[in-house]
Amino acid sequence: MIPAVQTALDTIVGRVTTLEHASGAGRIFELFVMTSIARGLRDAGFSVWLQRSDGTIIRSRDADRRFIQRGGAPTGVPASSAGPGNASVIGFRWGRRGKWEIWNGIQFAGRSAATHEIDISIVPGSVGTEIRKAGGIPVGRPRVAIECKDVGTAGSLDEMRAFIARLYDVTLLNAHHRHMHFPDARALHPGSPNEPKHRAIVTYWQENRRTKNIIARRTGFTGGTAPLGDYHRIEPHRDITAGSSTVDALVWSVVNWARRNA
Amino acid sequence: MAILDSRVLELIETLVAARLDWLAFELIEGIRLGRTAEESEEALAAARQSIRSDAQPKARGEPLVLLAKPEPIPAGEQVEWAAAYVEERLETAIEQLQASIDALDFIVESTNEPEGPQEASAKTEQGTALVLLDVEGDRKSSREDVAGARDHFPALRAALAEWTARAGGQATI
Repeated sequence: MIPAVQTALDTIVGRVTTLEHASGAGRIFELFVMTSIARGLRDAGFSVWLQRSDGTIIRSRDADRRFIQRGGAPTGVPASSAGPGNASVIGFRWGRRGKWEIWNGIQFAGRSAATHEIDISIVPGSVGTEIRKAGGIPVGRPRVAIECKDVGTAGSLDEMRAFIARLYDVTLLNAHHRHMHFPDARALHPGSPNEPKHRAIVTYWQENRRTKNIIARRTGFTGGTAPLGDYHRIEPHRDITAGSSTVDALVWSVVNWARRNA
Repeated sequence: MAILDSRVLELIETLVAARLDWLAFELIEGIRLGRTAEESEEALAAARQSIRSDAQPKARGEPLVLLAKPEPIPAGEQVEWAAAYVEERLETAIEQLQASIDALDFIVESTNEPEGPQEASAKTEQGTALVLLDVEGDRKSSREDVAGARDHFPALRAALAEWTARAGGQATI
């Protein structure tokens, strides 16, 4: 034991108890990516707000200004009737256009019926509103999917492969809907707007191209991962730390996508 | 694969005692895996540019990159590597938490979405706090908590430097 180190660590962990949690640092990293994107959207002129799990907006005059993150096993979207004590989301929109939501750590169901946690996802606000009526798990692919990796070791080919596999399972193409129970062929259910950009499309390539897919890492990527990401349209972003220009590049990428699609 | 320098065990025990088991596991894993050759920022930037260009990717079918084997962290370097890792890991997390709370406060203060009349209430001076929901209980982190943690980083840095110097003088096992 090293007493001086333990004393300093005890004090630091005593102040920020999130660090005690096995996934606490990872959750902080996800929150950092999520809030950096939200801040970037606000700076770019979008209207942005924090939203409780019951759908109400957190206002500056509210006594309860808690932004809640889930720390345990991944879940779906809680029902708004369950109250404001579940995971918060961040909402945004451009002018009077439709609302969008940024989610953290939500499970999405794929064609196989397996569920996949997406660390940061962006979905139409109508999807959130619809699911919150009773709570549940969205089926299909978020319009923006970000895998956050807050680990010291470099990102491997296996990590990239796993994210690609997840995205392929949650991709709902037009042809897949012949075998599904949904009334309309949409990319994400339930609640996606009846607009061309939300309808199910014909090929994986088209879906990869119209969505934004990112692996954001605190450290780097091992050699050989860039070609795999490039081919399957997964943007690799390394060295994501507070105050770094690499964060600006990541935020710019998502904001630029939102300008064209949101 | 690397062989764990027994001097690092002292730091691992300290992390566990400080309720940072996850960091102890990360330390062991980092030493076990060693250092790997990484993609350059140029290669990653080129991939990002290619993705945004909307060009149809061409199937190549020929291996362009041979994976390099990781290099173990030599036993003589593990003490310094471990001390630097612990300091950097915690400092980075605290900086990210600070930046997140700043962004959350900024968003709440600048929200211009219309509100219903029933939502209006008196202005408070309370800042935004982060709450991590957990089966063992909620963990709340406020701006004051983060500032308090940051104040103790010089003490952690000095303690780790002292241990590194002391452990570095001992024989490697």
